[in-house]
Amino acid sequence: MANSKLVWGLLGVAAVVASAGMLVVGGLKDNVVYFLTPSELVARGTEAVDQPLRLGGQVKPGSVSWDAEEMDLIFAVRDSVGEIGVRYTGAQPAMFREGIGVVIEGSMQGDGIFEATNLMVKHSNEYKAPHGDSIPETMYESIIRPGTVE
Amino acid sequence: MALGSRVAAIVWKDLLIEVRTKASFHSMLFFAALVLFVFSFAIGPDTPLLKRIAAGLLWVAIIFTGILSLSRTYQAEEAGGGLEGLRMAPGDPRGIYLGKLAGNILLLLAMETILFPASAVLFQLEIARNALPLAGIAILGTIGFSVVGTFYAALTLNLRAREILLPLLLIPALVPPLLGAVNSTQLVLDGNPLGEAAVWVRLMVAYDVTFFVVCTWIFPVAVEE
Amino acid sequence: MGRSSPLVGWLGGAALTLMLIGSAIGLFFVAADAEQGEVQRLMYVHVPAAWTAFVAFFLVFIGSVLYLVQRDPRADRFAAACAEVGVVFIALTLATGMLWGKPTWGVWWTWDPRLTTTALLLAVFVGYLAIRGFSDDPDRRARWSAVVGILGFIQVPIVYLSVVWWRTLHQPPSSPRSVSSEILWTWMLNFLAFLLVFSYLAARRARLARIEAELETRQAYDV
Repeated sequence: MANSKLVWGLLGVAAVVASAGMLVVGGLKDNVVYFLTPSELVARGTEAVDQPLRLGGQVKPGSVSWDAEEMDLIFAVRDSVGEIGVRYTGAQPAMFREGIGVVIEGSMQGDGIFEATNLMVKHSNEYKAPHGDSIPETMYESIIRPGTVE
Repeated sequence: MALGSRVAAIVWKDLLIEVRTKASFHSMLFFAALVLFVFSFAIGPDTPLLKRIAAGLLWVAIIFTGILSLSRTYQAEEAGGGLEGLRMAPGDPRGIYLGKLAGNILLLLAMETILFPASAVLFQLEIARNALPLAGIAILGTIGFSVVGTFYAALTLNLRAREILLPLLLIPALVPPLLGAVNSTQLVLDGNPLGEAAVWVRLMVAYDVTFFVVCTWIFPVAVEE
Repeated sequence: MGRSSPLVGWLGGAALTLMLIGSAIGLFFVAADAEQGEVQRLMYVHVPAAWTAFVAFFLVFIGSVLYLVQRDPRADRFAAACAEVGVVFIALTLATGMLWGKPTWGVWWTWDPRLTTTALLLAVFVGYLAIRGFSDDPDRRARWSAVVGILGFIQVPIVYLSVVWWRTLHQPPSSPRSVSSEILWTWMLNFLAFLLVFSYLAARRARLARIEAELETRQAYDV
């Protein structure tokens, strides 16, 4: 029956599309970078100045300073290798705190500070009910997965 | 008739009609230019911004124009019931697809050879210096667009409201080649001839080959009666 | 034809009951996440809705293949019903995701790979429904939508793996190790409830489609 031949052909096509689609997407894998890590941005040097981009990493503990009067937020974003100072003006997202993951939109300034226009919090995939003194400190270690930082 | 001559016959017929009437070409070109004008007016006198997003605007103009011309792909036959005739003709129906595909690619490329220089004037882009890599990117992007577009145009041919349905189905499928074309065009325009753009070119090649094979293969399902 | 089978009625009852129980437990009985607080309870809608949509689109794929193999209109109606309900669930996923994103991430929407591919998945299956809505000939409608349904399903694994392949704002999938057990059980219970709701709605939709098909043939003969 011509019909069933067509169908097997179509199934074959679906398989080809699936595998080739993975190939296409795999090609996208290295190109589509939603955010740069601090060390990647540092490596770009002055080339990255004034280029609008996203920067992602962990808020370095002890680096946050918040001026409630001026709504001025200054902190450092780090990965396992490097770190970059960030300046942001505006209200903090509710979950923002030291040690949490963030993705920041903005651009690198000539003075080496990242001027943020938008601050987003990246939380982990962990969900745990409060236990006693709560807030597991290591929770956000997993945010930057090993392998995404060379 | 052998597949090759079927394809050649269809391409020849369509190009002949186009050259004699120039109906599609002129309106396409004018429409694409209008899209670029609208963007320029909407964004305002911010030349650095226009320059930065020029690649995106250019490809949006190409895709909008391309969709308009795709919906006319089978029009010449349809009006006279000729598509039935083409389908009835003994031999592989894939010849129809390949012929229409070649015609669409040629028409779009012809339009782009005017649109790229025009946008260089409008947005003050460095086109002449990068003509060769840009031509390669334009060809790959146009093939990717036309391969899927010609297929979906056949699929939506007999539907009501196909003018809306075609872009609705087509645009989601066009995300990978659009990403590739826009990013590589922008990189080349920024003076980055082959370094970073190469990954995007590879993406377009993979997409073009994959969907060419797939769409050619399943085309008979789309036009089967 | 006539009345729907009593099984479907029971299915609806079970879905409603489990939905009420799952929601009650999720809203009132399980403690919320230590870090996010009450807003984490959205998880009991967001994740089950997403998974149910994935299941639905897988069934569209199966139905489409079956239709092309056997040319059985029942397979076509099955695929169509699953697609229609699946679109509702994926839209629900996007909506609850936005509601969840604003208080936790700080934005309703961002063009990260997970969000972008999910929006595309919605667009693909809206296209599937549109191609059905705009074609008059039942055979062609079934054949074309089956092609779109098979090709569209490819988007599902891409959405699922997007958080593994790319850097995203969206967190990677949770696992039993990253979720405490009472949250995990509530989550699974709600997933089951969503699956039942989906099955009920899809069954009703398929029945409606059968009646529509009969009407279509009768009208064709009347003319």
